[in-house]
Amino acid sequence: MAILSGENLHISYEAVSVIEDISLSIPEGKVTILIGANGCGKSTLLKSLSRLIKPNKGLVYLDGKEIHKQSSKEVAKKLGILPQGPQAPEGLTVKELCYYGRHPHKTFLSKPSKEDDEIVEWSLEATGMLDFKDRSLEALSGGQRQRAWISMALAQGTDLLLLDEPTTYLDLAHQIEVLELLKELNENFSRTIVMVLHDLNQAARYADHLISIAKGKIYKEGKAEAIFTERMISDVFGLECCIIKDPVEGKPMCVPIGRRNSKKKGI
Amino acid sequence: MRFLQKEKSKDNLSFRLMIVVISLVVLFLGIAVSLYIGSRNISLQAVIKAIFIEDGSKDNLIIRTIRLPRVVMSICIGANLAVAGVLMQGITRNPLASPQVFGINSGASFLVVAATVIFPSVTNYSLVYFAFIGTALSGGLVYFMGSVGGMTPVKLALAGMAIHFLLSSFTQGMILINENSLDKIMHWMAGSVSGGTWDSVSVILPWTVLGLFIAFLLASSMTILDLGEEIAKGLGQKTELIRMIAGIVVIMLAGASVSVAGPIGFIGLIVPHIVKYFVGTDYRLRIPFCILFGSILLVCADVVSRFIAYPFESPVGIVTAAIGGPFFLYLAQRKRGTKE
Amino acid sequence: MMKKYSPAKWMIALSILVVVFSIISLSAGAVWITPKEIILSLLGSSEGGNKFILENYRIPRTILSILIGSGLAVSGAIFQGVLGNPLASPDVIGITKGAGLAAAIVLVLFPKAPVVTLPIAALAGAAIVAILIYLFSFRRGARPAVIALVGVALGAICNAAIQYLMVKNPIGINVALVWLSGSLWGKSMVEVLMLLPWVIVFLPIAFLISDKLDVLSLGDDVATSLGENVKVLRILLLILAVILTGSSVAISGTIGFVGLLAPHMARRIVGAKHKFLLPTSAMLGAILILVSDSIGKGLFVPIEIPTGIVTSVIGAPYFLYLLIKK
Repeated sequence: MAILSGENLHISYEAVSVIEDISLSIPEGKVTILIGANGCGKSTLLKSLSRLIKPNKGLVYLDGKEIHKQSSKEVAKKLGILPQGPQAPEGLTVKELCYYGRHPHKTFLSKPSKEDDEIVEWSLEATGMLDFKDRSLEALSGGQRQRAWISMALAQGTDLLLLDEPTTYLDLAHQIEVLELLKELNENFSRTIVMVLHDLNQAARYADHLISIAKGKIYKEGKAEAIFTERMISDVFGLECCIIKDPVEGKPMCVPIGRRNSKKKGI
Repeated sequence: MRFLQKEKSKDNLSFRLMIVVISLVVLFLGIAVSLYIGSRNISLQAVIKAIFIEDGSKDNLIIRTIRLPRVVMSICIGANLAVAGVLMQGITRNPLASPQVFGINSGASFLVVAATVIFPSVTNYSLVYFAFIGTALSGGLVYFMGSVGGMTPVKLALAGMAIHFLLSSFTQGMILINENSLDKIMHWMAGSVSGGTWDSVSVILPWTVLGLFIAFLLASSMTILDLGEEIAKGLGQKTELIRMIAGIVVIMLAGASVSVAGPIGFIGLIVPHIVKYFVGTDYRLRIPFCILFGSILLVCADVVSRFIAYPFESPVGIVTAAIGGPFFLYLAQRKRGTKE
Repeated sequence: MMKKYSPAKWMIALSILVVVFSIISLSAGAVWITPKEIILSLLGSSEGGNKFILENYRIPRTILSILIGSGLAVSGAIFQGVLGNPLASPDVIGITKGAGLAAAIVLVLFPKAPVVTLPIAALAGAAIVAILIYLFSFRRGARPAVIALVGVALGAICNAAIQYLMVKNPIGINVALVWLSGSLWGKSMVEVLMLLPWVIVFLPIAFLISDKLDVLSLGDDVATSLGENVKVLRILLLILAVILTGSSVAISGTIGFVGLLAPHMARRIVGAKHKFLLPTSAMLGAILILVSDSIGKGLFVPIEIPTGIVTSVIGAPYFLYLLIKK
């Protein structure tokens, strides 16, 4: 069952068409990952699913109702999005950031309720940031900072969590840290996760449902084992590669061939 | 990439030549009209005669001692401000940079007014130096304020406005205290070439010549600077030195202009953009064309300023504001270019 | 950051300072009235001939200082929050210039108009510039950068128009200049009562929506994610800020720098959370005007320096100092 879906979406930026007639539904309770070459429209697609962008044509449905007909606050209680490279004001602590997640649930009076306190505490623990709660964000490493932002999105208490390239700009260790956390949140707390990832192999490893995007349309979607093929990588990314099984989880992994070796291989 | 593109009509030599010819014609016409028209109509014949010969008649005198210097001053100041603007836009890589946005005008005005108030007997020659100091101080301040945390056009514009606000309230304060010369100062503060005499021309001419000459020398370096700090350095350019020299030229050109004619706004802002549209990004072309277009703009604006409230004169700064203001608005809301 | 003491302690300290400077403001002027006499008079005893001055000139003027200071300061804080730029303030964004232009038009072209036209014109001028800014920047999604630039452009145009008016009409210049420099001279209870409702209604509204300003500082996307309609919110906040500025400027003329300086100082002592930032800015703004006005009327007796000029003279060096320290 999908609680988030898009129908016949067309999106353009200043007369250039970015997304052309895409329909998709996000499977509930799974980790869905969008992949595609630079500029293929995957971030744009994610933003339109989260109502940050209004599509030129087509509709996005959240919980059966059109998303743009619901108030931003209503949507905020069901869907949280973490944009790329979020900025926070100077001196903000991890705990203060996490409390922002409770904003959609607040009324005019600004005192946080007991429930808010408990949820924040839980979020911080689930993301492993409880020990850092009083540190300011600038003092953290990239991975920790990203986890702090995720704790905010978690505190929002939404079933759906959308993330736009949450691992770009992080070192590899921190990238894995963040991806493992997201996987846990999905498995232990049944959050539906949708994210745009840059790294193909990470996408193949962590996705339950993979969606590849090329030239503004969906190329193929499905389980990684099914769609992560040499043909797909060549068509979508323009890259010749060999697909092997990764030794850790047995998921498909792409090994690029490159010009020098393609001569040897006679390709 | 430019080399790979097919030659656009703008790169065409004959197109450029045509622009030059048309501009020169417009300039010539502007000068002619400026000399011809005034509170006292003088025949064309007499005008032409007056340019070359002094014959002691009243008409002749008016042309030679009032209108001619005024035209010459307009040409100089128009050129100065336009080149100052294009240099500033190059130094800061910011399409909004100009003597006015940078608060340079306010800084120079402030010190000039202060000098006139504190030293009533100050000569025009010395006033220039006060203007220079004012220009350097306010320009530097705005540059500094606007570049905290990375310079963007917005930060710059806001910083300039803040300094302008600050300095103009100081200036207003001084004017209030010194009531006798109130309206004369107000007229000057709006920017005016109407008081132009050969005296003022002799003040501004040396700085004009020197400044424009150095600007010419800097032209190819400025083009490289435009490519970006790292690339320019990679090509072996001493970016800091170039910036500093360009900055000094700006102070010379803008400061001298403000000291004789008051703060005339918008020319440094809009002329570089118009020139860029016609001529492209090479400073070896942009600077000469800025000189040409800047002069045309101010000469024509001066003519217009004599008609707004005929037979009374209006400060030319108001005409440049009337043209430049909407242009500034257009620039403000234009979509961001890829070069940012 | 100077957060050694808690925001609450700072706010208490500042409110005490407001009272102190109010008393000084009441004392200062052509006739120095001792604080003791002031307190006695306020408490009801009607000794001394200064009571007349106090009631009819000093008290209204002091109250006005507080109202205007807080209005301008909070407005500036809102502008800075909405536009995401610490240099944003109603002066710089052309709102006060718009008010100034409208006032200049009235003062110079219609000198015989009834006194009440002036504040109305000023408010209208501020509103018109604000609407123009909105119209010009709406197409671009009301992005902060565009709003700021359009504001600066409009401010420059208004400035030129003001200069034109003053050049063309030398007679009204003096009055216009004084108004443009911002002054509390000759204000009475009438003006206080004109301004009071605006401040009493809109200042608390600003305090109540502190949270939303905080959320805006996280960026448009995150703010939307947290349930705010960013475009609408920005416009509503700007309307609020324009009302606060416009009403103050309508009464006192264009007093500059408070909207720029007070929020900056407030940020340094209580941090960026608007729950504390707004009230602190208000108090600092009030203190700023109280001090400037006191200096203005008391320093070179019997000459009065317009308050706006004093705020610039004090404000500017301090602002520079703040910047350099950053």
